[in-house]
Amino acid sequence: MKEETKRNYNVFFNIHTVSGIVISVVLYIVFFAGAFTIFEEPINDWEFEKETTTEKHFKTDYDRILTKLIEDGYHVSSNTVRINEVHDTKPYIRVLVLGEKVHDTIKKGWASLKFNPITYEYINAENDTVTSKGIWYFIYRLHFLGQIPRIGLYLSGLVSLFFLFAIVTGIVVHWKKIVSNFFNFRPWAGFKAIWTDAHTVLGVIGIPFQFVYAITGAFYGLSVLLMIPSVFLLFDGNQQELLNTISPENGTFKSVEKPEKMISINPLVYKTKSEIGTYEYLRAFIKNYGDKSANLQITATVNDSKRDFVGTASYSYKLSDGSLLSKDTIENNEYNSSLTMVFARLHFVTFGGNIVKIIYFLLALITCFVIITGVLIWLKARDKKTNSKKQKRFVRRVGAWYMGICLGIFPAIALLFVLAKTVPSIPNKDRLISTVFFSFWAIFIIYSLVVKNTFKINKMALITAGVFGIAIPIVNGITTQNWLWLSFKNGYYNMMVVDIFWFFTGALSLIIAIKLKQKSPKLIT
Amino acid sequence: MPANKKYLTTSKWQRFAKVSAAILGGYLVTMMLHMVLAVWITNATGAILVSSIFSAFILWVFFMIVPFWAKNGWKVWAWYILIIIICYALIQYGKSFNPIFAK
Repeated sequence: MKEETKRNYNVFFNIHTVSGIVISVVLYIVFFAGAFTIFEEPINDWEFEKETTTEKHFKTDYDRILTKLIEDGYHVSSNTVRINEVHDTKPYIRVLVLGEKVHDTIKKGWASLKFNPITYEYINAENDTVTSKGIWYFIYRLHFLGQIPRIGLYLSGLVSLFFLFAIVTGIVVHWKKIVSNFFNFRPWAGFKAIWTDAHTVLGVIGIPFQFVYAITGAFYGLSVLLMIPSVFLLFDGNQQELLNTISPENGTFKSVEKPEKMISINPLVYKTKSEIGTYEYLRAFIKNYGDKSANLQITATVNDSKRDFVGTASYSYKLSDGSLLSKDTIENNEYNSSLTMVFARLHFVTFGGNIVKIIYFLLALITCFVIITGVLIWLKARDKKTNSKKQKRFVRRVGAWYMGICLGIFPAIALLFVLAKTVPSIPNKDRLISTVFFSFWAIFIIYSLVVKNTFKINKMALITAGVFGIAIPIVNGITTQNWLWLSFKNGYYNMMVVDIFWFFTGALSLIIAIKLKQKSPKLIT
Repeated sequence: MPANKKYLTTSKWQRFAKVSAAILGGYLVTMMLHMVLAVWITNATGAILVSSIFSAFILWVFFMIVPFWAKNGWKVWAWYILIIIICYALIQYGKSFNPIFAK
């Protein structure tokens, strides 16, 4: 190798290692929690004992909502009202009003309201600690570190960005041997070879998946960084003008301040619905209601990748006479609004049905494996006989922290499912569950720091996860009478799937834990 | 097999220059380039700004790698600052004939 090539190789190798090690633990948490969030519907149905409802869409009374908003003093005539209809996972009508009017002063930004779809009363869900939001929501927040106040989301975004950096530098380092090493399989050549092969081969297999998630994840965490420069340099600090340029449906426009009689909104929505056909969910944007300039925009999202991957249709009408202003059908989408929709589809796996969800779940776990083998290689490479006592202790302690946090999340999430069914419906149920979850995780980490032995930490994780996993369907059966076979008989397939998944995962964990024998006692001891 | 230390930067100042150029410099250069395109291609301003959700992070990572590949981190900073200044001038000039900004 030429000197220059050698230098580049080592430089890239080093930045790959450093960036990888720095983000590893957080990235592991993000991917592990993220893997479970893919199954929003089954987990929510399992926890809240929902049968699959045939009545998917309530008829939303738009005129009633607007009348109520005007009565309650919301400033709708020079602003946008956004109404999200009820759909599967959100059993309420969500209304966003720009510029909430409180005591004659108009507050800046969006106000978020929730309406009961039958009585049209407000649901004060934002600060509601009495009704449980459920464990899916908890895992979902954990996925972007939502439990860390303020900075959690940005931190996860940064980690995602450096993940992209680690992916690219990893490919650069690995490039010359990418084909030959792909077929390396040396299970008897010692742990370092196993970790290295697993890291590189599974890393390469996962690249397309990981690349997509690194970029979309960075966007969801750091989208504000993409907006700040253009807001200040191009739009003189006016964020609303940027929004008007990039996504007119979220934008506002000046009212002409001529009051005009509005026609009823409901018939327009129903007409549009029948033109669109089946859809997943529907949003309406009502701009400057009551003014001559008022218009209504209806955007429906369709989950039918045979028709179109993006799957949004958008219609807008003039509210003074009901005439059609513009029409984007599903097959003919507008570029700007499609892009963010593509991101949402890719990130939240709302395409391709259950098979893709299962593949993505496995790929997310494979990514966790790639992360953890990377850490193990790092540890192994620093576990040398020539090390001083102090160095040895340092490597062992770092290893114990990493293994404790990463392996501990598996039994902790299993415990979460047990808690969902054992903690009775009390006020602050969510907070209690969250406390127990983090306490268990902390105890697991302390255990790791005490034993400082990867083999023992791994075995403990498998045993606890195994016990919790098998307990899940049993606890669910005892507390709700939805035993596996009864769920099957009654057709509660979502509940059944969760129970079966945990039963087999738990059993498998226990079997592996029993079969595990410490062959090499010197493994990162 | 950790990377061979012989080839790595030892100077603390150099390391600071490279890391800051990678993260901060890379970010600024990326955003400036996007904005120049958005301002100058007048019939696609909004589309380019939206498209940055795809391209910005990839480009940022590219500009993150350059400082480490280069030998002198300060030289990279000098280049980055030059690019930022040129882009800034182009943006200010371009705003005068782009109908979205020229009022």
